[in-house]
Amino acid sequence: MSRQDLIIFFILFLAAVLIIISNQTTPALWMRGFLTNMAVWPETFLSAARNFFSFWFDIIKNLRSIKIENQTLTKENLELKAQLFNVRNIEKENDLLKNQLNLGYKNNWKFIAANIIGRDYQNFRSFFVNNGRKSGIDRGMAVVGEGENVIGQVILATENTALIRTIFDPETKISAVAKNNKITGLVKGLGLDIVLDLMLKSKEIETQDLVTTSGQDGVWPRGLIIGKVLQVERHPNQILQTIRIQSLLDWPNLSTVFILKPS
Amino acid sequence: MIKDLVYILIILAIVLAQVSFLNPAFFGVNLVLAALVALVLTRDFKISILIAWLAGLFMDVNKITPFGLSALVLISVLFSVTLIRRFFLSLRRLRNIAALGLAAAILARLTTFIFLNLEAYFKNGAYEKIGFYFWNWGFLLELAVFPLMVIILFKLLFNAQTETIKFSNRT
Repeated sequence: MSRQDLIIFFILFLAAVLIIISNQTTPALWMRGFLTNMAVWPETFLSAARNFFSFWFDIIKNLRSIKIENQTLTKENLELKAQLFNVRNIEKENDLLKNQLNLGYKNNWKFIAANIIGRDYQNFRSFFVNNGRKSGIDRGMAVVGEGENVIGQVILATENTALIRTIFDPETKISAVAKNNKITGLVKGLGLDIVLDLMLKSKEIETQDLVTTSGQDGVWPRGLIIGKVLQVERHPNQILQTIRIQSLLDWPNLSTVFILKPS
Repeated sequence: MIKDLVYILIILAIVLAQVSFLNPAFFGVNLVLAALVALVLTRDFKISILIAWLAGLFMDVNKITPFGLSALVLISVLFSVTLIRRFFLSLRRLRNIAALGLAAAILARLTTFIFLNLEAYFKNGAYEKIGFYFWNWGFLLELAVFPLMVIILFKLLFNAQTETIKFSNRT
């Protein structure tokens, strides 16, 4: 290695350190925005290709089960159609009651759809989506997936893209409830897992119990699904118990997310 | 010069493919690092490290880790690989490449852990457990697959023959 090589290495090393230190300054944010804009089109194309590939791969893999499922679903569909009429009446009644109790949180939020175009290659701690400030997305907004399952929070938004920190990241903390609002705790990401922490050992909780957002942290609306209880860990010398949670989302095949914007 | 530009485009294409096409479900292995290790073993150090720096910044666009961290990790790993290459090239050739790939995979995780937690420690006074980086199946998979990928990329992408890499050219 020549002296010139060493000099170039140290210049680049210092430049990288400088960028990290000045992460939130205008030049660093401009540089990030510039690279983001350069990457957004090829990443959109490649993620679409990935979704196409993944879709057909799944179909080929599950051809037989899809056929059986189709027959079951056709049967179920007929039964559901019959039930739909009753549900519509209940829905109207429910809306009326929610308005009376001032619980209609969903009416206060607008769902902005976005497609995932980039990911962290080794884990599910972050996503990069193809919708940004242009659509009203901003830093701090909550992100959900299908079935109003919690995904994470927007931590950076450019004109056409946004970076999402997921519930697996250790920085994520969500005020949560279980057992129909009877037990409260704090949901934290552990990198690869999610846990419900700060819960007294005296509180009884069982596997498969649903854990939802409490709405007390001011970020996530109340009632969004975080996951179900996978495992309860109780240690003799501790007054608190730790509960491992399993997200109900299919994280590897996640392609679309919804950003919650206060309306 | 044109060849260097081609390499820049190849590496950037791999970066985009990794962040958009591959994901943890498909393949949790750092394809970009494998290509860069293969590049630094076959090309000039200056060019390789510049490409690595640029690739790192592009990778960071998709990550929640501080912007610039991947660039720092990639150039540090390539620098280390270049330093330890002298030792490895005194052994049998193909095995050397695999060993360097293995070292690069471990170094990449170690440097990510050190730089990321240094930043987090100075900023928030907190740090992550080292087990998060090394105590999982993803790491074992990477150790198994990464050297193989480096060899394949070394042979195919850069059209390199291990026998033609002259030790004297590296110093």
